[in-house]
Amino acid sequence: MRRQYPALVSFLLLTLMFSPALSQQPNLTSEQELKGRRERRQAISMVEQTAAEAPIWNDKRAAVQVLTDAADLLWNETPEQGARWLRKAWDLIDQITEPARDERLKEFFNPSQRAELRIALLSVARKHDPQLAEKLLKQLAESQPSERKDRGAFDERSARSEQLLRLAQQTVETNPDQAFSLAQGSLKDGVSQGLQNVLSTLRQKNVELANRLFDLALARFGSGTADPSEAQILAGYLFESGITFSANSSGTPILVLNPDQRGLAPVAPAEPQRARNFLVAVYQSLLTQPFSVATDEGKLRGQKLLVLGSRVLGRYNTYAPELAQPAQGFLAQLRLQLGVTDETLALDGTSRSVTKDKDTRTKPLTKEDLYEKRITELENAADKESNASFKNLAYIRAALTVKPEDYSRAKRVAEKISNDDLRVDAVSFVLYRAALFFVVKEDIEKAVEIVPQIRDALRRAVVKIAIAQRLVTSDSEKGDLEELNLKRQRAFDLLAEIEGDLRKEEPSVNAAKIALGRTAVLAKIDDTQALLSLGQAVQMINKLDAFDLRDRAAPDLALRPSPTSGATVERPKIGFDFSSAIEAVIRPDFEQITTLVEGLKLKEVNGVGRLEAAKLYLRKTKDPGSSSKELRLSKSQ
Amino acid sequence: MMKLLSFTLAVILFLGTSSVAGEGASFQTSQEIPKTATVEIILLAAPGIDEQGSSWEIAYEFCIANQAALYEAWKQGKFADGGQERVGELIKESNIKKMLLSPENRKISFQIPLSPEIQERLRNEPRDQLKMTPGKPTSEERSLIREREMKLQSFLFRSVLNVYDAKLKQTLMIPARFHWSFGNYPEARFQINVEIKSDGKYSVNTSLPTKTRLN
Repeated sequence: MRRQYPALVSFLLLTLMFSPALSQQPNLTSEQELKGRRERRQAISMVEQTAAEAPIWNDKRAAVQVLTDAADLLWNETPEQGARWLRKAWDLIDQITEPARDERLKEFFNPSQRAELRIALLSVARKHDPQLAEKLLKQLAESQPSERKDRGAFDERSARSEQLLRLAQQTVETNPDQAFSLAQGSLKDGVSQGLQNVLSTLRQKNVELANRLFDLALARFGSGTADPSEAQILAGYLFESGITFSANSSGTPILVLNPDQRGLAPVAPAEPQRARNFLVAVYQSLLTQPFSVATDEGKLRGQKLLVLGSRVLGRYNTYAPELAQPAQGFLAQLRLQLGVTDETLALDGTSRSVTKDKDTRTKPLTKEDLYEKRITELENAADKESNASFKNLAYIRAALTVKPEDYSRAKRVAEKISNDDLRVDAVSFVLYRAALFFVVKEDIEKAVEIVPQIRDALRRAVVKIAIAQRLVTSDSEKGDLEELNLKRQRAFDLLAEIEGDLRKEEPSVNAAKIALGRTAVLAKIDDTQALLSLGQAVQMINKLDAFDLRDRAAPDLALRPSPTSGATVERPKIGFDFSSAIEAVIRPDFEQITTLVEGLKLKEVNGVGRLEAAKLYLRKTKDPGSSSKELRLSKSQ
Repeated sequence: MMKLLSFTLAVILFLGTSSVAGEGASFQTSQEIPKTATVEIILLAAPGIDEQGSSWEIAYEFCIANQAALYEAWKQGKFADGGQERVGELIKESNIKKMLLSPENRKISFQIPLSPEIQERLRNEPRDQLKMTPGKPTSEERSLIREREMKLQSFLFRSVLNVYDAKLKQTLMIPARFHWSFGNYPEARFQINVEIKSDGKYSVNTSLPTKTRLN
């Protein structure tokens, strides 16, 4: 009885405490519902308004992206308007000026902004109105030449085939049949580079479809004026997935690697008849066709044939032995005509005389020995340089060759640089690289230990964001409440420190990206602080001449004299874009976010901000069937 | 699914020049051998190019090497990962500094005299194609190839540009390294264009080959 008494009291107290709350619940729910409806109407209105403004923007790329997104978001409610937006966007694409071709890459491939935008647009059109997508593709094929004349060695053959193959690649995982049909359509313009990727991925999903597509491609290859680069694409698929060879304009062999497709089992052993068919087609279409090497064009074709020949010659012995000898004879003849020796075209290095260690008693060097030897050689070479500039560059190279985790050594090498600014920058970079390496390896304490030594504020900020993100995401994995709170507090403290650092920095794209990245991690801890941080990011963006709110990439903080140094850094796996910054808080704080977005001064940046916020909100609160009602309400108001 | 373009890694294979000139005619028969080499470096753009205080300084080395030496250097990784080690025999090295405010200072031209010995090496560069029997090269043919590789000449230019941009308030260190085969540049005239963007990123390009060597 004594025990029951306190329990009864507790029950009564609890009942008294919660009864008003219970009685208020329906009101709260209806308030929340009303708020939700109001916000959805606002989001829809923001999409419509931005789409209406976009066509007159100077930044046509942003306009096309906005119209494409708007069509996708509101298609179910207003399909006619969606189609109109897509057509408008399609027309605007032609007004976009392509950036200058990258001199270093143009012989390989030439990425095109227009192509990227068309792919996104066609993907939306195919989702909602396949007939419109077909119509637009047809229009593209009619307006552009069937074959690109100035394409790089690994560019697609035509704009149309590029669109079709990229769409096929997008759908192959979820809809192999559709991917097959799209890739089949691309064959009209020949066998394009992207086909190898589609074939290899399709094979993993459906072997029969991949075989059918390969057979169609081979038939296409054999039916027209065969090009050695088409054969290279199919050879890659059959014998060495993920690799395609070609020759550049001076005849030098070049190749592209697709790491995503490397390591797949070769197809030829499983499909010997197809491998044979391919080799026979190559022999008939390329190796028995006489052509002149007197012209530059003829010489280039000859070089490409030799590169192809050196790749497939050995395969004839296995799959088409009766053609091995004649194929070898043709290639030897071609070498003679071009004045090329076996040595200059040995892709695998076997024909070149390779100096081997003849002293078998010498212990072979281990990977670690080779690494040590390499660093020592580079450092010694730098020590010997007489010109200060070359010497400094050589120390940079040696420091960057050191493994990220061996940062003390890298720092010691970088400290030999005589130019003060460059030395500080190089030391800062190797420490930044090391700290991010340790974050990825989950050695947070080591990363934390390095952070204060990084002199560059932006690099230091990126490392802090990476550590904070790691601490926050490990929240849900394990640990008791106290430990979790401690981690969150540490993350919060690190992010708070960044604010002070950013205030001292000159406005820049990198600083604005870091402000957005900081917001993204803060949003997982504290809504209020995240909104404050977003406000600071907006202020910083307003001080810039231009800013792409959609660019998710981590800030480029590479060491300037070595532009490729950025590739050696383990960048944090978070988006540094606007959408990533607001994702965690868009639902509870939509109104505050829209107010902040309104503060973005540049017309285009403001428009993209509004659309991104509305898009995220509508996707997070997706409620099938409700959008039409909201839209009708929005329109009637 | 990862997009092909985003994840392709382009690799260029340095495998020597694509065509091998022969033993027969050498260069002097149809073309005059240059007595000087000319390298012109033009700064096309920089954020602070018109600002008082902006300047650029160039340290360079101009070398010559035959194809065998180039191949050896390539095997040793001297061209990999932005390698800056000297390759070949030094012809000239120097340092030049100029202020950028004046437009004529945005172009720097070096006239590099080529000694009679170097002119002789260029004159002896083979220009005809090698005659070889089909199939695997014989030992005699191999020695011919080696001999030819010793005669094919290339100019190597390695430089570091230190550009102080008064608008960016920083010194940008820009390494620029090129090798130009004499066969592709028979007049020994070379041009390098440098462009610095508003964010401090830069591009460095060289002039295209004139391609007038072969018969």
